Amino acid sequence: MSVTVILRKQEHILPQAPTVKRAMELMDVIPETYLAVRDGELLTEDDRLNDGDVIRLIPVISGGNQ
Amino acid sequence: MKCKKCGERAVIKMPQHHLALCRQDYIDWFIGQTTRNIKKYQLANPSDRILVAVSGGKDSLALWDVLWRLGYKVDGMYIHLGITGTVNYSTLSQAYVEKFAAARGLSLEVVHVAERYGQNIPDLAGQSARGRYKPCSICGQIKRHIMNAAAMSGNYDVLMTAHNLDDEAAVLYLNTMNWAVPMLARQAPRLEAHHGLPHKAKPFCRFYERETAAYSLLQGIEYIEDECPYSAGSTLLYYKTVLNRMEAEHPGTKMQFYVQFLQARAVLFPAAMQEADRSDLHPCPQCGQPTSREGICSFCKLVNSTNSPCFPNCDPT
Repeated sequence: MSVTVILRKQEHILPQAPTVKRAMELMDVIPETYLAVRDGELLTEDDRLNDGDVIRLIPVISGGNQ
Repeated sequence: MKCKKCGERAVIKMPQHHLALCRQDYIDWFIGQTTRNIKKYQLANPSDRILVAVSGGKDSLALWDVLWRLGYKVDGMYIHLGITGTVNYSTLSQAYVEKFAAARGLSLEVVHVAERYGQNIPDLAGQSARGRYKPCSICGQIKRHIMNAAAMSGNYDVLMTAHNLDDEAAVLYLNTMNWAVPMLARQAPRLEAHHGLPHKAKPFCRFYERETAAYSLLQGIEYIEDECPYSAGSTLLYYKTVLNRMEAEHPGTKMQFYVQFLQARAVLFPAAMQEADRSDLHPCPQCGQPTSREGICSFCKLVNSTNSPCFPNCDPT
């Protein structure tokens, strides 16, 4: 299987990512700092991914000084 | 994973709350939690006029949306900082804010820093030794001044900002590492009006940053995803990353750190609970906002150096 992950406008092809959690591990991101979206639907870390899926990782951490 | 309330497919899991929710139950939970935060920390009364500072990002637009849905009388204020970068950051952010306000029929005030004070934020920051290396600190100081002035001149009862728990925990971490006692003493969800400063409130202080992002996504709120080009490498982002690594190993770490601090604060800093009693503050002879400096405040000192033809007469204070 392969899954396409879009992170900061760049596409990454992951050969073995059966879950969102695994995709985040392969992308080396902290799950707490990203949301995963597939076809406009928000996914949890436990959601399973299918061959050919395209998911977008949206960074949620922002900010400079208060 | 199923929604803990209705059994539908969950869209978000929140281990720190032992909770997973579907879209609609999450939206209801988020709005309900905001109401609880407002009551718990006495952040606003139903009749209050509220000014919310909006940046075009997920947090502030989510806050404005929730307050509007809860029926508060709430206006927005956007500060155009004059930051460009690859996406024309400030102008693009303003477009998101204006679209949001127009879609809901909400009142928005836009303040252009360059028009009011002669220079934009990057140029102002470049003039000070501190800002040259840390533009975020100058940016924060200028935004605070403008927000305070707008809240006071507009006779608002409360000035609200959308600082979330990640923001608060990172600041707490930073101030603890530096033992910045006066800063620690002043960190709270609610700050009383005092010395010509407005009552300030942070209704999102108990939401994780990913929770505010999830709310905006699920409500279809369009916001600027690009980061301010000056935030890369900021100290607060570093502390947020450290805290999130801890959170990944031990869910609830950030919440514990912040909430336990709020409980300890009353014991650690009893005098801080009476901000109005601060005898070290006096009004700046130029802008009138309180300062602990001798003479004019650091904001006026910075802006005077731009020789703006308008300042200080353009300042609503």
